[in-house]
Amino acid sequence: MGTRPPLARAKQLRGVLGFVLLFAIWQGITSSGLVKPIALATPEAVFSVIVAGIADHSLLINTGVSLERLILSVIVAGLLGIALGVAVGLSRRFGSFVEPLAAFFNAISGIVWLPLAITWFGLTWKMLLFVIANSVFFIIFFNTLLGIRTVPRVYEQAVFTLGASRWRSILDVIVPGALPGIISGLRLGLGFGWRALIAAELVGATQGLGFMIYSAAQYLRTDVILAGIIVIGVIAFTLDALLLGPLERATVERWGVYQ
Amino acid sequence: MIGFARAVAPFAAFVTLWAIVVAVFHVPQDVMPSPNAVAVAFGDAIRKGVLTVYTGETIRRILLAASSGALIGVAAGFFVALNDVVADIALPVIRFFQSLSGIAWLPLFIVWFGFSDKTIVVAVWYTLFFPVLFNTVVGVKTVPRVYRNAILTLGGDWRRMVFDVLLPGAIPYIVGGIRIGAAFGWRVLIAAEIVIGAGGLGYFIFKAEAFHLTARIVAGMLTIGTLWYLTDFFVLRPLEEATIERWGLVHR
Amino acid sequence: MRRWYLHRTILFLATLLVLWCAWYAYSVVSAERKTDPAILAEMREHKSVELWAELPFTPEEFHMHYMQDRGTLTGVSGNWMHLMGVSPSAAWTIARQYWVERVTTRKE
Repeated sequence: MGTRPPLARAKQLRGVLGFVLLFAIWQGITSSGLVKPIALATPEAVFSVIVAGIADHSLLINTGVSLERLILSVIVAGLLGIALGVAVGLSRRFGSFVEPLAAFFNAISGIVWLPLAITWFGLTWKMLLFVIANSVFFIIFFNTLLGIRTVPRVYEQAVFTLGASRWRSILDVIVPGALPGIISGLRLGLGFGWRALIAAELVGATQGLGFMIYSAAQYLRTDVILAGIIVIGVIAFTLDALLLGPLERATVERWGVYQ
Repeated sequence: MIGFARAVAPFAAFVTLWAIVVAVFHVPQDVMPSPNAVAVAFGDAIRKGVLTVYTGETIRRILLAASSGALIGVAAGFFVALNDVVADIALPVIRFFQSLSGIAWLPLFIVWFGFSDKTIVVAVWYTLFFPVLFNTVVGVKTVPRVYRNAILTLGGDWRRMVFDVLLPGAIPYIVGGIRIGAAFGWRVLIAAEIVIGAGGLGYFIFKAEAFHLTARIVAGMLTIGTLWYLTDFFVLRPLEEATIERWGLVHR
Repeated sequence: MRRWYLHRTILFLATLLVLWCAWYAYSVVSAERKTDPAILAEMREHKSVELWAELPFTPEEFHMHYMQDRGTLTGVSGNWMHLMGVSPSAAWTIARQYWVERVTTRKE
């Protein structure tokens, strides 16, 4: 991209300033003695935990395990969600049956399935996968559906007049047209999936960031907790804001689907 | 009448399918109970007061967290949005806290407040507060300068500015934020109840699993789903529709 | 908006409110009926009470926990639970519960 206009640059700087101030407040609260050290660890204590965690790989392993679970769940749920979304979007009859059920199940998606998933799979990775994929599936499904439905009829009709078969119209017009919706769904799915993952790991995992912060709580290790929270937050923030934006730009915008 | 039947049909079909599958495949009751078993467990849990008391606790918590979180979020949002520079500084930080789910803060809250009701309410409050705050700030900032200057030229004071110009203009965003916050908050509530174990529907289904009362788990899940569905259908969505419609803005 | 009071949100919330009030009223009335007059008298004098609560079924862990939160549970015998040191307001709450059949001074 070219040079950013001055106003955007100023906004970015101010944003960074926000985090600097946050950090300063944290430092101020802990060093002024306002709170007991056991209640809130100092930035340097947290920093040393992070450094130690990287050095002995423990932090890296936990982070890696969590991310691995997320990616796997999103792939599984994504394939199912897109497939079902396309199927429902293309068939009105099927849709009117499936949609209300999906809407209701969406209301219980995620962590609510935890006890049932534990009954079925025990405290295993399969259980975690199920719970996380559960949350992600519905987002991707509904966004794919929306994407399919908002493809202007005109395009479909245009392709038909040019002599295309139903299959070609689906592959060449509807699916590419639905791509913004699908990508949106994937993006949101990653964000939602991360939330569900942390919740599930708090309860039912022996590894991963959620597990790390929960077990640290038992020992009142606020430094480890905060270290974990920071890593979780940075990943969450990245997933929500940055990850798929550029991906969108590279694919969808280039293809001219956006107006 | 037909409309109602048509709305209920998918659910009736699903329950029928469920009953058939459980019967035909001889699925053990503690793996997947039949719809009948779930209904029995539901009735039993209500008769014994277990489900009612726990549901009451959950509802109390969400109402408490939602009402205070939303009010304070909107108020704080207005303060932050008043100054452009302040808003620019604060927004990324707010967004960070919005992405960082309240459930991740639970261990820290446990250190501070123990395994108590307070911990749960604080976590839910946090989860609800930030989307509302963020959306309020964004909403206020999108109110066109023209309107703000207009009220000033007409001799309006800050009260008129806030209540006659900024609030109406920002309401679609605010309501959107409330809806997002409520959805996240509800999920965090159930999750927190599972982790903390101080009563509530989350605890109900978690405890049922420990006793292998799978029919109760499903009954609890259905209760949770129905509660959320009712809230969304009767309160949140109409609110969103009413504000968008009334102010003639389309935001999706 | 025309006839806003017929809007589904208002109707829903109004129905909930009415049902809740009816429920509460019923619980108050039945609590009075269920409790032994001697205990009621002690409650009125703001004294903490000792009571036996009968349930129409065998208490589960939930019920014992519930009682523990409101007094000192000394024992469970069949469908009866014995509590000591229950504050008047807690005793009143227990009596109001629809799943509590009676609150008496001794087991029967």
